[in-house]
Amino acid sequence: MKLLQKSIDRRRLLQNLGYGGAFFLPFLRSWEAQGQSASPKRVLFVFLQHGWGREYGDNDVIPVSFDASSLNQSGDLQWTDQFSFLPNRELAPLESIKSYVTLLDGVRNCSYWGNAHDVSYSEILTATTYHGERGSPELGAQFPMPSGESFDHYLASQLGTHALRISHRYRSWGRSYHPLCFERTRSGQIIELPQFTSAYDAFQSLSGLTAQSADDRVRRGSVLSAQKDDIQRLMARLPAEARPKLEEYLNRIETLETRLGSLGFENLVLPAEPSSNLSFDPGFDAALELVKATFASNTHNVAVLGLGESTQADAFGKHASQADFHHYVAHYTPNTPSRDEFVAWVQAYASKIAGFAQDLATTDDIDGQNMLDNTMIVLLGEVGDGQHNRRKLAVPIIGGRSLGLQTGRTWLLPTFAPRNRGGFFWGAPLRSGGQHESEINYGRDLSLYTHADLWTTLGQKFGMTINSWGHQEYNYGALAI
Amino acid sequence: MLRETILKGKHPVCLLFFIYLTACGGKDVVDNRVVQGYESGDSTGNAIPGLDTCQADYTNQFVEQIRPELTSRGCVGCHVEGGVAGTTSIRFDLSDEDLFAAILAFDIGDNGDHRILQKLSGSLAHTGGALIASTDPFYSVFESFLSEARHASCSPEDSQLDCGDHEGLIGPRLWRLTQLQYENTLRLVLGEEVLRYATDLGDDYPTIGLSNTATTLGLDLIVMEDILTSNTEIARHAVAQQSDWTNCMAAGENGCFYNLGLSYGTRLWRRPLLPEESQTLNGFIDDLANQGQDRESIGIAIMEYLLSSPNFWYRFELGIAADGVRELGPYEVASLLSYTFWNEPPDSTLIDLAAQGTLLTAQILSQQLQRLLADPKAEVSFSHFIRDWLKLDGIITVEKSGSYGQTLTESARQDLLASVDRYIQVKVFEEGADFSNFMSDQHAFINSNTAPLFGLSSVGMTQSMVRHPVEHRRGLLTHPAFLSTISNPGSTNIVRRGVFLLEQVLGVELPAPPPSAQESITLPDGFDADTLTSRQLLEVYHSHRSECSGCHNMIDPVGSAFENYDPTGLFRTTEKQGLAIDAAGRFDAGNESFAFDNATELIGQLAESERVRDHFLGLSFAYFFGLSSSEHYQCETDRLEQEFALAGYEVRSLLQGLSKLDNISRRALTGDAQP
Repeated sequence: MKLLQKSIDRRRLLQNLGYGGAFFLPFLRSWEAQGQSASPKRVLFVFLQHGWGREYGDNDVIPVSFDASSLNQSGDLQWTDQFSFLPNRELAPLESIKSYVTLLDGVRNCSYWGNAHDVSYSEILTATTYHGERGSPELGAQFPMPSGESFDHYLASQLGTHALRISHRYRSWGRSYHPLCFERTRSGQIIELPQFTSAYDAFQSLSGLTAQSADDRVRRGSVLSAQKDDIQRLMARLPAEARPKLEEYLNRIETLETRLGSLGFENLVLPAEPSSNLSFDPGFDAALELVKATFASNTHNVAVLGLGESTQADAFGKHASQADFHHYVAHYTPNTPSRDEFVAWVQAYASKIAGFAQDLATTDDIDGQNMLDNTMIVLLGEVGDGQHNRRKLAVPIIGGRSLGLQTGRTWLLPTFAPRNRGGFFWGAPLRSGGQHESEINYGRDLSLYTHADLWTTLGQKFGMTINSWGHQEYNYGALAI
Repeated sequence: MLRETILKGKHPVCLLFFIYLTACGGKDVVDNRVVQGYESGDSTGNAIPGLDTCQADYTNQFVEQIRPELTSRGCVGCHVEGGVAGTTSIRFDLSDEDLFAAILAFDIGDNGDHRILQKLSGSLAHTGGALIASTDPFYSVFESFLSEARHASCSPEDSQLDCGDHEGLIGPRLWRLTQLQYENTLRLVLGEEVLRYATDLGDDYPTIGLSNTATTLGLDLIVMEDILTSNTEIARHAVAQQSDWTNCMAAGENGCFYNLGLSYGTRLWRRPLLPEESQTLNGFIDDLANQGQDRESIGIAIMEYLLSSPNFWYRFELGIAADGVRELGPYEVASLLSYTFWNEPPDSTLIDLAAQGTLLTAQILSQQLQRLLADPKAEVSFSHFIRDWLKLDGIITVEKSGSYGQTLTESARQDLLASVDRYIQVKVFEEGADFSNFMSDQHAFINSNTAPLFGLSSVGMTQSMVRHPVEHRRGLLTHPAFLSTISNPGSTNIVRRGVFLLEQVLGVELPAPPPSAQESITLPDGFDADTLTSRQLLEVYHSHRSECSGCHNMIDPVGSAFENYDPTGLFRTTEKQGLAIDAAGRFDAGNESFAFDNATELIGQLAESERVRDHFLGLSFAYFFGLSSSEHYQCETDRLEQEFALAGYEVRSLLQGLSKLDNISRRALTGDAQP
């Protein structure tokens, strides 16, 4: 029996495994995978339930002098650096760091059917859901199964590092995390990736990886290796219908084995252990501290943070009487006090993010730049606001200068009118083949660019050679930003 | 069909999954194919399946033509008691009928081949060597005889539906243990103390549907990581505390560790290790020793290996393909019976019967099913189904705000669940308790913690049965545990209650909400939210949106019927400081119409509804067989319905009915149809 080695030689691994070796890439140290590149490349996706609050039609951030009428359907992008977050109350805390911000205003969801949350959770990072699928056997009644991996996983794989996923006190539709992230196994099966639901759980996992003794690691490696032998033998005997479960199991075992053997975690300097029952405010801080710690030690280059307070009484004192952030806060009613309450929440989140960004901006990175220049913080939501805006979602991106973002700009992305769409298809593929044009009502226009285009754009910024993301139907093209 | 076939011995392959020690081979190796259910093998068991009446028609031909020829070919030299092959099932010192039955039982191979001919011709290992060449005229005579006898079919003698062509069978699959089954397995094999280290598997529970569906139960990476950590703790504890391990460590011999691994493996995996798994274990122990791991670490590693195996985490339901169906092996059936009806790993009786190869004989299987169903653990298992059906476990964690949160204390939540269990115990398992009564009985169990939630005064800490006025409460649908779970933290939520009742109780499939469903709308001019009941507000909203009215004409009346119960289930007649509640309504579901003045009237109608009863039955089938719905298994649910009806719709009869279905011991060749 071959025992687990304490480190994995990337070159040898690739030579031995050929195409399949790519599977292991996410778990190698980032500096190894990135080869000669001295500058780390990192991204933190922050998903807030119902997005960052800019209602569709709000043009508050666009200065009066900006000539939106010059935009046309050809896709020309125009930008301005004369913008202010202040009139747009939700994002006002970003004003202090606006020179680091690239504001995309805005992209649309890939598809339009259903309740928007459910589809979006499966769709937003994958762009590979099919029209009309409300749920799936694997994910439950509310969540369709996509046919591709999620962008966070793709990036982590390509960067040769780990992705840290923490959903901070989120619960809706029976899920305690969002958005849904996926990987593709070697046999082509799409499986959902797990997320930590508290900073405490994430800390325990990470500290477990750093604290294992050498003997423990060797012993556990032997156990996992023995499992692989058994499973592979067993697999050959199973009828095809029974294989996916075992395949998934094998995938987990291999991931854990590789993680166990990967370098880097011994260098991870973790912050103080968070309490297991932190209230919202310190819990959010603890999650951000873990992101920073893993970024700084290069054990992780990708992080996904899902936000949505769901407990009582402690959330900045703003909504002590209600326990369900999604339905009682995020579903605000325009021009009522409920909107003010949502504004206060988003501001609280935005303040934390701004503070985190400033922290990164004042921390030296290993290449001599500050950490924020090497890091993108991308603010997203499964819908755009309390009105389930899916047509034009504002996406603030903070940092990432060394990745090629010209910060301090807001980009007004062109829209098109569904009644006069000039040949643009908007809709989705059917799993059975063919396409289905969306049932979107035709009253308002919508962005030409989708989340799929956003991932293509960011993928290119990260040096990946991709020209599209997900289903072709969802792609218009990379954003020239 | 299974029941018929087993009772009549029509499919003798069902009876074949005996521990396979080759006729003249060693006894320390277990045939892997038999253990996993991949192939039938020879048998050392004494039990011989009987012939059914149709097969018995061939006895004369066997006696006159086949047996003498086999005797003359030399079989009798080994296949008699005391002979080299005297421990196999095929012995020529048996009666004609028993030998004939044993040969039929032995005969079916993986691909429908005649195994006994393969043995006789030497194409399958046979200590006696090749006795009959495939070119021998007797070979084809014997082959024709076996084919005809094997396929002899009898007309059904009882009234049970014949599903034909194996309709209604679930496909082969792996089914992960539920949290409860996982913990019960640890507890029964390694002791109560290790439960403190057990992993929380973190399964998401759907708000509508069932929570133990085989397709959705899996192990994600974070849970797997937790499992590895907890396995280490469990292993440390077991190795330190259990005398067999400490004795082994004192002896310090790899062989002792190996034997312990085999022993614990059989219990944790619910079957003996396959030969190659035994080899892996052996090599694993040698490698650990060669690494210089100390004895304690070797012991820990063995336990970690067993506990982190898919053989521990998954129930394998694969069977052996034969005659267009997969017959589950004896260990597979032992696990299926035990986890289905007790939520526990098979006990020593089941394991011993599986090892002896007798579990699948008609009489013994029937006896074991009756033994399992007679045990109170079967009632508990059924309670879990009903709790899952109505999401009653949600009472433990459902969030309540303000005064509702203060009322629903932790102890009240626990006692409400106990009250539910007590109700099920009485209204399901007492003699004569039928479905209608179960749905609509006016009794409930309360104690001092829960009495205020029922609007009653304290009655002490013991759960006492009380009878409510008929207009106040009937059955579990007006139980505070249910009503709290399907309410918002601080309000009732008519839509949520309506959707749940329609989909989960009535089996109505509602379409997805339109894209605009959750866009907030402003109350039209002329309406004041403070002077309208929640129901009236909904009517205003939905009547102004044509895309909503289709479904909400159905959802809202059902949900509104329960407006007499506040977010904790307390009965009320007004809301919003004095607005009178109107709980009356009417709606159609399929070809059934419902009209009522309040929830208890509606419940009375639901209790008599064929649609509700059928949906309950379908869900019980889906739950016990780990499916998301019973949609593709009409034949099996028809048979269950037949049992249910024959028993006068006694709810407990469903357990008996489930135990008689083909899916207890068979799987389809493929899983194409299963959701």
